[in-house]
Amino acid sequence: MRVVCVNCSSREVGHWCSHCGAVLPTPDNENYFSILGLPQKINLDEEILKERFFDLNRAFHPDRSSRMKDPRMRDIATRKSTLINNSFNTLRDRTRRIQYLIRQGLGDREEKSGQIPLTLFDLVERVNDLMVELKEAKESSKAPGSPTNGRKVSEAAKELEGELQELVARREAFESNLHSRESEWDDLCDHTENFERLSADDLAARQQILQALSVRMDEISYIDSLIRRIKDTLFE
Amino acid sequence: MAQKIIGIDLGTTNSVVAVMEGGQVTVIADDDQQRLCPSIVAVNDGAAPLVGYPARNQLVVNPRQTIYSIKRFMGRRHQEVAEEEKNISYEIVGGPEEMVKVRAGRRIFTPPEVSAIILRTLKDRAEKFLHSEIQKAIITVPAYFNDSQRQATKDAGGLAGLVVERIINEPTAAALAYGLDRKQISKVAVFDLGGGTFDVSILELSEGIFHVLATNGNTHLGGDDIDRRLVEWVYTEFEKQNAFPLNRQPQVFERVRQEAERVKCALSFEDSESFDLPILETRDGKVFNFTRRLSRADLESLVRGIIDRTINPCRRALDDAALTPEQINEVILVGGSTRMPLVRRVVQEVFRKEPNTSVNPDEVVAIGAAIQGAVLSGEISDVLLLDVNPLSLGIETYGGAMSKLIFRNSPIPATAKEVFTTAVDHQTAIDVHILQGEREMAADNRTLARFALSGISPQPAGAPRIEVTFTIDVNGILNVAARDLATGKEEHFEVKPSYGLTEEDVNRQVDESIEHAFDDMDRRMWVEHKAEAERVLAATHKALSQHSGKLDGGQLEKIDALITRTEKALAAEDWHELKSALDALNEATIPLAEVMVTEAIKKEGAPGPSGHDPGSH
Repeated sequence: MRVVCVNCSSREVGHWCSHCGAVLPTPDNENYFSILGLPQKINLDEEILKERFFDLNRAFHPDRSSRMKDPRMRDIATRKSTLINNSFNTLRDRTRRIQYLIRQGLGDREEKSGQIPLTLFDLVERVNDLMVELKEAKESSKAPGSPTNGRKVSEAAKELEGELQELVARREAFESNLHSRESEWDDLCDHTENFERLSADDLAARQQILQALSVRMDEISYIDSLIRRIKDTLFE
Repeated sequence: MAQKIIGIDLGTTNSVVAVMEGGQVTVIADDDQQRLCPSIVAVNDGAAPLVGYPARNQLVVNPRQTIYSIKRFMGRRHQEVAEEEKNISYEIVGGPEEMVKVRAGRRIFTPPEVSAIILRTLKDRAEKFLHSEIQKAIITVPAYFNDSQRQATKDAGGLAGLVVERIINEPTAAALAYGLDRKQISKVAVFDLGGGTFDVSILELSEGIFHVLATNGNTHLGGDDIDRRLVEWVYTEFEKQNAFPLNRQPQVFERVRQEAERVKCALSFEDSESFDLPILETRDGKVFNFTRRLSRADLESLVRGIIDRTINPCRRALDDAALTPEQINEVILVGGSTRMPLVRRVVQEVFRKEPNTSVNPDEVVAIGAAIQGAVLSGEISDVLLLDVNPLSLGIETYGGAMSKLIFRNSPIPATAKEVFTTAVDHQTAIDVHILQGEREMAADNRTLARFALSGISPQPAGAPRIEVTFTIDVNGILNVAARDLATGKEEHFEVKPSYGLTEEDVNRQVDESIEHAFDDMDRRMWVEHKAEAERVLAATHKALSQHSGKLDGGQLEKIDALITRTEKALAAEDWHELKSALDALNEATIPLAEVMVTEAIKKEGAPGPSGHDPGSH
C-alpha cells in the first residue's frame, strides 16, 4: 500500500522513504504479511518470520525510536512497532495465521462455535446419546445392590470408545484434507504475481480455497471439543 | 553526553539502585557501605522519615509507625488486601472500595507516597555517588503486575521527582544482567521468588535481542508467606507448650516475625537453628520465653506447600512458550527466597537442570535495570528487550462473557480495536467494561475499568459506530481511545482502577483458569444458548396459542415433542443437547412461521399483537 511521507510528501511503499529516509507511516489496515515483508503463505518459514520481527523491532521499537529527533517520527515508529508486534503475534501461530487469511479474504464471519458440522451429523447424535447413557449407568451403578449396572457401564463405555476411534479417524481425514487445501493455497501464492490485482479466475479459486479451509477448521475445532468431552465422560 | 538513567529495583523487602558507567554496572552503596536498602519507612511525628536500616531498627519498638512491604498494597483497593492486612503491624484505612491508604502516626499515606520516600532515598544515594543530578530512572516491577500496580509504581517515581523512562519486568531485567556477553542463541528461564511475588519468564536470547516468549506468576507468593507460616507455627507451639495463646500485640507479633525471618535465612546455610525469644509474655508474674530448635527438614515440611505453588506457573510458562524443560539451556535464580535449598531443589525438578546462581539474587534485577537505562540513554546500542503482556485483556460482551482482544504473552506495545454500537433506539451512551484475566466469563476476571462512551447522537439501534482502540504501551500500561466513525470525533479515557473482585479471587482464578478452560467454554455456550432457548420457547408458545388451529396434527405433535425436549435440556443444563433440540425446534416451527406470515399479510394495515414477534425468526 502506498503512503504519503510526512516529511517530504512523496508517495512511497515500505517502511522508509526512499527520498528523504524518514520513517513512513503504516496504515492501520495494512496486511500483516506485507508489514513483515512475507508472502501470504500458510507454510511460512518461521525462522524468517522471527528474523523479520527482530529486524523491524531493531529499527522501530520504542527503545530505539526514543532516540529519533523528530517527535513525529517517534510517534510513527511506535505505532509501527505496535503493528509489527500484532502481525508477528498473529502469524507465528499456524491456526491464527489461517484464521487471519480467512478473515482477510471472506470478511468477519458470524461465530459458529457449537454448530454441528454437516460432515459429523451422523455421529454426533449417537455419541451424545451414548454419553447420556454412560452417565446414567454410572450414576445408578453408584446405588448399592445393582450388579447389572456395572455391566451396563462397561458396555456403554466400550461402545463410546468405538465411536471415539471413529472420530479420531475422521479427524485425521479432515486434517489431511486441510493440509492439501493449504498446499493449494500456497501454490496459488507462488503463481500470483500481485495479490492486490487478481484475475477473476484467481479470485474465485482463492475464495473457494478459503471457504474450504474455513469449513475444515470448524470441523476440526468441533471434533476436538467433542473428543475432549467424550474423554471427560469416559475417564471422569 | 546524555543524562544518566539509573536502574531501581523497588522490592517488597529490599530496594537496590544501580547505574552503568563506562561499560560497568555499579550497585550503589550508602555511607555505611550497605548495598541493599530495606523497603521500610519509619514515620516519626515532627521529624524526617527514616528509610532503610535505620527504619528497620525501630520496627520492634515502634511497629505502628513503621511501614514495610508497601509493595503489596501498590495499586490495590482496601477490599483486595484482607489477607495482607492481618499480617502487618501498621494500620490500613479507607473504605472497602477505596484505594489502600496507610496510617502512620498522625499522617495518612498512599502506597505510592511511601514508595516515593524510598525512591527519593535511592535517588539521593545515586546523586551522591555520581556527583550529579539525576532525573531519569528505570523502575522494575514483577512481570505479573497488572495495569494499576504498574501505574501506581510509575506515580511513585513521579512523586520522588524522577521521570520514569520505563517500567520493566523484574525477570526480564535479570535476564539482561546475565545475558549481556552471550552471543549464541539460547533459551533461558528466569525463576524469581522475592519477598512478596513470584514470577517466571521464558526468554530467547539471540544476537542482543532478549525476546520474552512467555511469562507467568503469582503476585501473592513469596518469602513473606514463608515467614507467616513460621510465625503461625511459633504461635501454635507456644500455645501447646503453655496452654494459653500468645498475644498478638504489634510489638510481640513483630518480634516473632523478625525472629522467624532470621531463622528462615539461617536455615538456608545451617542444618538447624534456634528460635530465641526471651520474655515474650508475662502472666501472673511469670515470664514466658520461646526457645526451640528447628531443623532445616522441619522448615521444609512446614513450607513445602507454599514452594510447590511455584510449579504450575513454571509448567504453564513452558507450555505457552511451546518448550520442554530439556529445551531450556539455562535457569537463572532471582530473589532472596531462591537461596533456600528447597526452592533450588524444586527448580531443578521442574527444569531438570542445575540453576545458575552466579549473580547475587538480591542485586541482579537492579543491575538489569541499569543496563536498560544505558540502552535508553544510548550508551549501549546492541541490546533490545522485547517483552510481553502477562494477562489477556478484553471486554465484557453480551451474556457476561469476556471477549479477549489482546492475548496474554503478546509482544508489547500491542493494540486492538473494537467497534461498539447501541442496542436500543436513541441510546446516547454505551458502557464499556475492560477486563484482565484468563477466564471465559467476565465476572471471573479482574475489572480494570468501566466507563461510558457518552455523547452519542440519538439514532436508531445499531446505527452509531464507535471504534475503541486499546493500546498496551511498552511499560505494560493500558491506554484507551474512542472515535466516532461517523463524526471522527476522538476521545481519550483514563483507565482508573476499579475492581469488583478481591486479589485473592483473581489469583485463585488465574491459577485455575487452565483447569477450567473447558468448563468456562461450556458455561459461556450455556449462557448464550439458554437465552436463545427461552426466547424461542416464549415465541413458540405465543404463536401456538394463536395459530395452532392452522397446523395439522403431525406438525403439532412434533413441535410439542421438541418443546418438551428443549425444556428438558434447559432443566438438565446441557447446552449441547439444548443446541441440537433448538435447531430441531426451529426447523419444526417453519410451517408455523409460514402460517403467521400469511396471516400477517391478510391483516395488512392492522397488524395484530403477534404481528412481528414470533415470526422474526
